[in-house]
Amino acid sequence: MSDGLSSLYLQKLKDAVIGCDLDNVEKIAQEALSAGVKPVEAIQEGLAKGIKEVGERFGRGEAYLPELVMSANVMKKGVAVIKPHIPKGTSISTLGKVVIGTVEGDIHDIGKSLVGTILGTSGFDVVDLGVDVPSERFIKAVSEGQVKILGMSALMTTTMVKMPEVVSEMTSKGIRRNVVIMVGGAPTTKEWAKEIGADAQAGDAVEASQLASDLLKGR
Amino acid sequence: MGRVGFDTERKVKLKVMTKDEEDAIHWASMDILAETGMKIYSKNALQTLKDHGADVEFSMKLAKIPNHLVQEGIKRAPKAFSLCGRVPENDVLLDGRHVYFSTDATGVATYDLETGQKRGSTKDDVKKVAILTDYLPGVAVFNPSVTPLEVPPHTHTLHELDVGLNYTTKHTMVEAVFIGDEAKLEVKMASLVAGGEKELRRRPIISSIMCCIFPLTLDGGAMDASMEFSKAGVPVHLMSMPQAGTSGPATLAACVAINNAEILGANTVIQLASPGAPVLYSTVGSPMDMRTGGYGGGGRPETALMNASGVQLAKRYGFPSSPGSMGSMSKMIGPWIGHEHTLVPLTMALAGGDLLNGIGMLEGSKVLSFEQMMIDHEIATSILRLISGFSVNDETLALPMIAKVGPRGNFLQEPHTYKHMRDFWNPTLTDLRPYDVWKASGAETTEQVARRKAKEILSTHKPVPLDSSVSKQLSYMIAEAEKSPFSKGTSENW
Repeated sequence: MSDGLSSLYLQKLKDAVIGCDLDNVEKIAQEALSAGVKPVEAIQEGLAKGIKEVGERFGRGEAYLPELVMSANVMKKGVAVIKPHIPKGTSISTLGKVVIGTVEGDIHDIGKSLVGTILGTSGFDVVDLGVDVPSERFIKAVSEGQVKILGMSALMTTTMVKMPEVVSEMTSKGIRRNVVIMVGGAPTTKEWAKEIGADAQAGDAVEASQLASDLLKGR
Repeated sequence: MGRVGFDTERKVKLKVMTKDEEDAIHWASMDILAETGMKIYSKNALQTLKDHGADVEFSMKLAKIPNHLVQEGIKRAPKAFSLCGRVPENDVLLDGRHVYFSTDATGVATYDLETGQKRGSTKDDVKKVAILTDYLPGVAVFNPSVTPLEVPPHTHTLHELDVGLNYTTKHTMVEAVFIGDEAKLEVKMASLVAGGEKELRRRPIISSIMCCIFPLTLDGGAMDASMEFSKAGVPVHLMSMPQAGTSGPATLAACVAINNAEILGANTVIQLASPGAPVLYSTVGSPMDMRTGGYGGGGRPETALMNASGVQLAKRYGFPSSPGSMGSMSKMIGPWIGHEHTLVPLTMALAGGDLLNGIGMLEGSKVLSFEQMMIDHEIATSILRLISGFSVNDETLALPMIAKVGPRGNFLQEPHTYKHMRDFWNPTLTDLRPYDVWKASGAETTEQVARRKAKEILSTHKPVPLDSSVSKQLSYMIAEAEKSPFSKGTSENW
């Protein structure tokens, strides 16, 4: 196939994400594959470029959060169509793996999920452990390797005490040093992060994404 | 930028008088006009009233106006019309269903945007107000705010008009004019821009304020000027300013009755001379500070009550209204002015006032602050959002989506949320980020944000310019007028 046709489909995929075209993204992805667009390219040069642009517009305050979330969902739908066609052994480059979750005893979901969505749109590979996550599950996820950032969320002063538990457990297991630990949620502060031996605290999802990128650059 | 007003059947309709009370005020005003009468220092106006059968005593300059003439005046006044912009997108339709905001005043000092110091106002300040007005969607009408002190005093309003015509495509309100010939010249200037006198009548791009003298007095020059404007089809804001305790009685009912009589009396003259002339009903009241005798300021609950009663009466008769709305006596930006500049305009918006004035002024409309202008704009847009209410229908109730998302779900990812996410009002001056983020990025106060944004707008926004030959002709007309003061015409030495 011609480069022209390929770039046309990559543009269509990008536009589908930017335009939040939830209804047509699967069809466009299918057509792109049928026309011979390479699956990895379809994701990296098509869908991902779209989400990057929406993410940048969001950072400038032009795109609104529901738009970003919608774009992320469009991307997910497109990726689901394309992924099975990626040849075994081919990797998709990301900024790194991030594990997030709300600590044990706490079922607050929205803020944590927002952070996940925005980290995802920034190019991180996000593993969301959900809410009410026991400390052992955080430890287990981090032990499985390749994790660059661990993010823990808590909305209550009574549950945020689970955070230092995870940090000290990681230290005693010798897996603390290779991972950036970030905390967030209304009761957390920068002082709290310092006190418990975490690396950073973010007040909202935008700051979390910014900090995550900055902290990894320093490594 | 466009302008914002809201076309809505407002669901909250605030009334500050019962129907019986409103009737009582109406009949009190009728009684005042017929029995007490008004002092009118214009020969033209008195003659017009006399010709139509009013009881006029020329030596006293007193006219007693019978009810039927007042009713005739009310009948002739148009119930809806537009204050037009230089471009039609900026027209402001006054039909009792829209609410708009305007700048206001002609104060004499300005807080300099660069130095932060208070100093005498200049034509450049007026220009900045026009450019900001042109940009800000929540300010629909330009009023000069301050007067250019560096030009010959008799040409103040000409220069203000010059700025309005040159630096905004929105409607320009010229301040009170006190000489008939000056009004004629302003009509000529506006006609030049509008494309002729006929075009100006069809699309009035300027309006003028006729300030009555409380109680029950009409200045001769101001009356002559208003009659000139009306003759040309230029809308006139009939403004009455009761000061309870000094020029007005200490009871609000009496102040409101006199205010109503003044506006109806002035309207009668205008409608008898120029039937169908567009006028606005404008109550700008405030109580005296009973403790000291000082000016009580335009931000008090009594101000809101008086001005809202003006709106209610305007609606009774069918006049569009331009009630006093933002007139705090606060010397500086802060909590006091924030509260007063919300209390009164919110009341006016709920009462259904058409054009709410006063954006950007401190010290009882005497001192211009560009920062306050930005803050008042924020207040204005939030009030406009509030009175537009919300609609209830299948789309907005979204029952199928509620069922789909279910308990403990999250609506953030729903297409319905995406579709409606821009329906919301957003603050532009308030920092909603967490404390640490705000602190780290400079901990700007609202005032600092307002200053930064005002500067940004002034350095980037370029209003659509007037045709350069028209602009030059305006300058020439003003230069000619600067040579000698206007003749006071029939009102002089009379």
